[in-house]
Amino acid sequence: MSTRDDTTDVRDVPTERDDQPLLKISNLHTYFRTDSEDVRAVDGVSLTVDPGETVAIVGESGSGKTVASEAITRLFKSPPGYIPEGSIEINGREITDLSDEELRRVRGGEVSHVFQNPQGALNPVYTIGWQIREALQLHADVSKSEARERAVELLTQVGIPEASSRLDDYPHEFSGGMKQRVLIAIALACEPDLLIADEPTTALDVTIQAQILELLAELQEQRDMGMLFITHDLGVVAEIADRVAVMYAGKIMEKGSVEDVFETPAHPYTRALLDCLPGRGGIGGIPGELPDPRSPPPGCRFADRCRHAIDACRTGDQPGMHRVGDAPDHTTSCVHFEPGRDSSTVLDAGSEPAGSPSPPDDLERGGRR
Amino acid sequence: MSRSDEPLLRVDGLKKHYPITEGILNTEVGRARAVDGISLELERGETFGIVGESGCGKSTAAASMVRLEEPTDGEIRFEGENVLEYDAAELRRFRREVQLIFQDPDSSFDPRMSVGDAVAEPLVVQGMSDRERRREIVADLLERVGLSAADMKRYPHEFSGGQKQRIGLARALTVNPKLLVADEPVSALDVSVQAEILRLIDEFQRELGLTVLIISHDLGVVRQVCDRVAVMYLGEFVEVGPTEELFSNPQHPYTRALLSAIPTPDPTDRGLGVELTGDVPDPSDPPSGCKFHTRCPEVIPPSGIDLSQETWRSVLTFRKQVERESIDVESIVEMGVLESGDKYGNLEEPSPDAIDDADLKRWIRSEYDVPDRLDDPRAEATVDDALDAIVDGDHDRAKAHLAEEFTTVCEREKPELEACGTEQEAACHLLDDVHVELDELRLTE
Repeated sequence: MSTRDDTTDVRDVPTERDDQPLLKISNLHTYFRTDSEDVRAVDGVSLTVDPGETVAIVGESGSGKTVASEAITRLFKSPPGYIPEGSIEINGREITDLSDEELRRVRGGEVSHVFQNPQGALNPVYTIGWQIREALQLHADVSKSEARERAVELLTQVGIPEASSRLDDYPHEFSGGMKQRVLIAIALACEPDLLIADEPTTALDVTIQAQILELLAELQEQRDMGMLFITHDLGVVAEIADRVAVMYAGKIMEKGSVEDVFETPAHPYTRALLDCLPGRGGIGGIPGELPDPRSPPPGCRFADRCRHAIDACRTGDQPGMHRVGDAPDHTTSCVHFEPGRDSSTVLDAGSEPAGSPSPPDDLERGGRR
Repeated sequence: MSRSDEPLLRVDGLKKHYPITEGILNTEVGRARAVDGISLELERGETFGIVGESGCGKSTAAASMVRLEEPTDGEIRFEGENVLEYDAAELRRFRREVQLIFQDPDSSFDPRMSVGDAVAEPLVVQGMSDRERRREIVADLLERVGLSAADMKRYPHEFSGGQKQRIGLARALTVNPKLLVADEPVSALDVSVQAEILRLIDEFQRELGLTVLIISHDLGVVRQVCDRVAVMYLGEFVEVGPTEELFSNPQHPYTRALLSAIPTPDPTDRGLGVELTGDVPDPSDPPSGCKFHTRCPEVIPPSGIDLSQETWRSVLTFRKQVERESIDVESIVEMGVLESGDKYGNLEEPSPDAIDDADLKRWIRSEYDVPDRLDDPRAEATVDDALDAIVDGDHDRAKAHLAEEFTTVCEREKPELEACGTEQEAACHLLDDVHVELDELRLTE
C-alpha cells in the first residue's frame, strides 16, 4: 500500500506514471434550483482518483459528499440540479458535456455505483439472475447463456455460496449483507474502471460491514480498479482509503494521504470530527450547525463553529488549499496554514473542551431566529 | 411502597415470542423467539446498555420490559412491584415513571403539533391542567436541552435531526421519570451531533439521578456512556459486565468478534477481524445448544479430533449444510465445470453422473473450504466417507457419519451465564471448568 502512495503523492505534477488519473474532478460545482436562491450543494471541489487507488470523501450529512459523487455520472435529478461550472474527466475524456445517451454508456460501463440501501436498489419483482444479466446485456453483446455463466461467476466472486442455485431467487430471499454483495456483483458486471461506493456499509451491522469492506478491497486489488468511497465514518476511511478528502458545506476542507490526515489532522473541522469519535477524549460534539447552503457566509464555511476563527476567516472566499507540514500531498483550506501565519495555533491546541460552545456559535444561532 | 434496597428494575427470564401463523385459521406453525429468556437488574442511577446486531431482539427486549409489548413469559419488577400485574391506573403511573426516546426523531413528532404542545403532551396525559405551569416546565426543559423557550411556537420541521432529538429528550423528562429507555437514540444522527446528545443524556442522568437503559447497535456509543453492558445474540444475553472490563477483556467469542469488527480510526492499524461468516440465524429456528455455535470462530472441537480451528470450523459448516440437505451438487458441478477448463469443456449438459467421483469430491470440499486432506486421519476418513455417500446420493448416511464424529459440546448443551471475573458474566463453554474437559479427554482415550 505504501508503495502506491509514493507514486501518487504529487498529483498536480505528472509523475513517472505516463497515464493520466482515472478520474479528475476540477472545480466542480453542483447547484439545485429552488424558488429562491440556488442550493449550492457542491461548491468547487477538485479531486483525482488513480487506477487501483481508493479515495474516500468523508463528511457529515449535508456536506455535499453524495451529490459530488452523483455529479460524476450526473445521477442527480436535473432539473433542478445542474453543473454551473467545473470539469470531470474519466481516463482523460471530459464527460460533463456528454449527451444523456453517451452518459448512459459511461454509467455501469467505465463507472459503476454501489449505494447505501441495498433494499431499495434491487427490483423486487425480478430475480437476482435477471438483474445481473440485464446489467451485462445493456453494455455488452452477450447471449443469454453466456450472461448466465458470467452471472454465476460474478456472484461467486462476491462470496455468495452456491451461486448458480441462487440466480432464480428474488431479492427478498437475501439478507441485507447478501443483497449488498449482489449489488456489488451488478456494479462489477462490466468491469468498471471506477467504482463509486456511496455509504455501501452504513445500513449493515458491523460484522457484515467488515465482510463487505474486505470483499471490496479484495476485488479492487484483483482488478486494479479505482474506487471513490463516500462515507461519514472515519473508522471506515482509516480502514480502506489510500487518500481522503474531508468535505464540509460543499467544500473540501482538507485532503491528503490517509496516514497524514489521521496523523496530523490540520483543519479545525477535521480535528473536531476526530474528537467526536468515542474514545478520543472529547465528548460534546461540534456546537452549531451547517451554514445555509443557499447563502453561505463569506470566508471559511466552518468559521462560525471554529474555535480558532479570526477576522481573516470571515472575509473573502474559502481559503485556498495550503500545504500542511512537509507532506507533499497534504493540504488544507484554513487561513492558519497560509504562508506567514503560525499553523501551530491549530495543530498544538488540545481537544475541544466539553460543553463550551464558542461565542460565534451563539451569535449565529441567535441571528437565524 | 418503594424500597430503596430493591433495584429500580429487575427482569427475570423475560421472553417474548411472536407466533408465526399460517392459513385462514391462523394456525400457529412456529414461533419467532425474539427475546428468549433474559435477566437483568438496573440499579438506581446507573446506565445500562444492550448491544447486538440487528435482529438480535434488543428493541423487543426494551419494549417488553416497559410493557409496550406483552411479554410471553418472565417477571418484571419495578421498585419491587410486579409490572405484569399492574391494572390500568397503575400502568399509567408506571408509564410516567418510565419514559422512552426513539431512534427516528422525525417520526416521533406530530408534524402539525407545535413543539411546545408536543413537549407538554405527557403532562396533559398525566392530568396537569394548569396551562401556565405546563408552559413553565416546557420552557425550562427546552432551555436545559440547549434550545430556547421561544422555540415552543415552532414546528418540528423547522428543526434539524439533532435538535429534534433534544426535543424528544425534553419531552421524556417533563414528567420526572425514574427510568429513561433510549432505543438507538443517536443512530440517525451525525457523529458531531451524536456526541452532543450523549453528553446531554449523561448530564441529565447525573443531575436528576436518572436510571438509563440504552439500546444500541453501536459499541462506541455504549462504551462512551454506559456503566454496564449486556451483549445480546438471538434473544439471549451472551455476556454482561461493567463496560470497561467487557471492552478490555471480552470473554465471549461473539463479543470478541463484534469488537474486532469495528473499524478503528487509525490507518496504521488496518485489518478488521473478519471472523464471523454468514448472517444471524432465523430466530424462529434457532440453533441448538449455544445459539452462536453456527458462526462461532472458536467453536470447541469434539475431544479426540485434532484439527486447526479454521479447518474444524469449515468441517462443522460442511456438516451443517449436509444436515440441512442444502448441498447443491448440481450447482457445484456447474461451477466446477466452468473452472476446470478443458477436462469437461465439451460436456453439453453438465450433470453429476458425467464427473469423476474424485473430482466431484474435491469440488465439494473446495466449495466449503474443507482442505483436500485433513491432518487428523480419523476426521479425514469420516469426511471422505460422507463425501462418498453424498456422491452416491445417500444423504442420510452422510449425515449419520458426520454427526457421529463431529458433534461439539457447543451444540449439545446450552451454556449458562456464569461469572468470570468481578461482576462479569459470559455464557460460553470455553469458560466451563477446564477439569471437565480434561476428564472427557481421559475417558475417550
